[in-house]
Amino acid sequence: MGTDNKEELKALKCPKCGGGLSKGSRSHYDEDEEEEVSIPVARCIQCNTEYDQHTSEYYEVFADDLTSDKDSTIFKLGLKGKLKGIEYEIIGRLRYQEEEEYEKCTWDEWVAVSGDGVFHYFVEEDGRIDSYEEYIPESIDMESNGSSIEFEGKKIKKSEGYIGRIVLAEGELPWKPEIGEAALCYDFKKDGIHYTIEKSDDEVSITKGEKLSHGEVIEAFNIEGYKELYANTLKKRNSFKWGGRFYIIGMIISLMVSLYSCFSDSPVQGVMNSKKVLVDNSPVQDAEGNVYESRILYGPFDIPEGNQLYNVSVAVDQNIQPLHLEWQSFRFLLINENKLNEASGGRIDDPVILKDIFEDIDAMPEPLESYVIIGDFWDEEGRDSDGYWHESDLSYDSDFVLDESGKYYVYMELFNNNVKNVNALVFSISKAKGYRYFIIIFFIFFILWGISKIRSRSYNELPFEMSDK
Amino acid sequence: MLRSIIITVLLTSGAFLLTSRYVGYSGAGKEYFKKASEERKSLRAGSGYYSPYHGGSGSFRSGK
Repeated sequence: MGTDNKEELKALKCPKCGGGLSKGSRSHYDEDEEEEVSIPVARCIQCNTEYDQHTSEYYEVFADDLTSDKDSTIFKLGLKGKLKGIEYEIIGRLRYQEEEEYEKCTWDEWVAVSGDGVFHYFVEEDGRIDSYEEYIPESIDMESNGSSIEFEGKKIKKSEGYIGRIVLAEGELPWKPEIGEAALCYDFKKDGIHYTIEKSDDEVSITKGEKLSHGEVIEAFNIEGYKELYANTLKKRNSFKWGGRFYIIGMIISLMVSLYSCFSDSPVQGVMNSKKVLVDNSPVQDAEGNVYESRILYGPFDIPEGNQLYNVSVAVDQNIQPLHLEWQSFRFLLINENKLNEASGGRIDDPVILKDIFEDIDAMPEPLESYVIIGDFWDEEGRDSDGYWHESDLSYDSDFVLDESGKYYVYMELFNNNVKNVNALVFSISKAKGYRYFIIIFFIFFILWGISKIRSRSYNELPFEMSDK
Repeated sequence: MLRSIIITVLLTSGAFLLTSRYVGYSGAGKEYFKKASEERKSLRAGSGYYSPYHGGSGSFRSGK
């Protein structure tokens, strides 16, 4: 212990001037983020020399940050167990940090010795455990060519290698590692088996491994305290997984109902078959100048079902007369035939009477119409900082629930800034099926599914990370 | 898991119920008459009930 402290004190000195090293930072242009970012560096407080992550000094200074969770591991020094018929004892641990990462990105290599004296390695990384043993390949050429390694006939690109730096070494290790010591690693798979080539200054070691579940390790090393927590964690994760499946079913149901409803509109027939043009492009003076007003009465047509959802769609038919750099306002009134009969004293076909009725329609104490829709269409162009633009809005639709079936008329008022063909405005009425609530619950199910998915992977009662499913 | 089943059933049946009762949709006919009559009663004498839009387009590009 005393020796360790001496080494630590010795390590924290600047090799250039012997001054103390401290944690610092400097700005660095990140090509991925495309901006200046602050990165950690070790700095000499005396000569101001910087030591970045490519130096041993950096790891000596930042070792405490990179090992703050060193006890949150399933393996512990001195742990003994029997895995697949072989007895092991954990005798040491090395923690590595990936050199290219500024954030903490570590893995632990637990060194175990088997009953017959062979070294074995258990690697813990991001909640995953792999068991590795030394492997002697049939053939290997580290310098197959400048850019790859040949391993039993398989080419491994050197660009896939990464450097690990030791940030923690403890226990009775078969060699004496230094903090900051680098190892160049290549991880790859061949014939379904994981291999790692680890190249340090003076040697190359090759290991082959397989994934272990935490359950296997807990069982093999008989770690009593974790057995119940592991079982609970798996049970809960499984429960979240099943919950997610039900939410997927909910998503499918709501989507199917929405699609069915969306495509099952049935149009009310003959809504535009009969029409009376009461006023055709009559000029009207208003505060903003001259506008042209038209009034048309469509119908009667039969709406066969009451207490039903209907959709009205009003649009400009560009084939009849395009709306170009102008505007058009409309008012759509749905009128029950009985009401119109009553108002006209049974003279529903008299255009003079109808004209008078509709002249005063807004002054009636009781509304004549059963429903009203007001909308605008427009077509515009212009220039802005992005250049030329041309936009238009030429359709409008609205849903409503009509309580009574029967014969109906549509009274349409049009206002335009130019003389327009009254036939260019078309409308349709369809019996519709509502689906807005199914769209809403689809998104709720989607969010719930996402939460269940995350919880099925992250729920954990154990004091260490675990990625088992 | 049971909670997920309950949530799925409740949400789906809630959506069916709200849809079948047309909750949240505008009502035409009696509901409209009632609403429009009350609006007309509340208007001052001589004020217009409907003022058609004569101002040109409502395009967001024109800022109107």
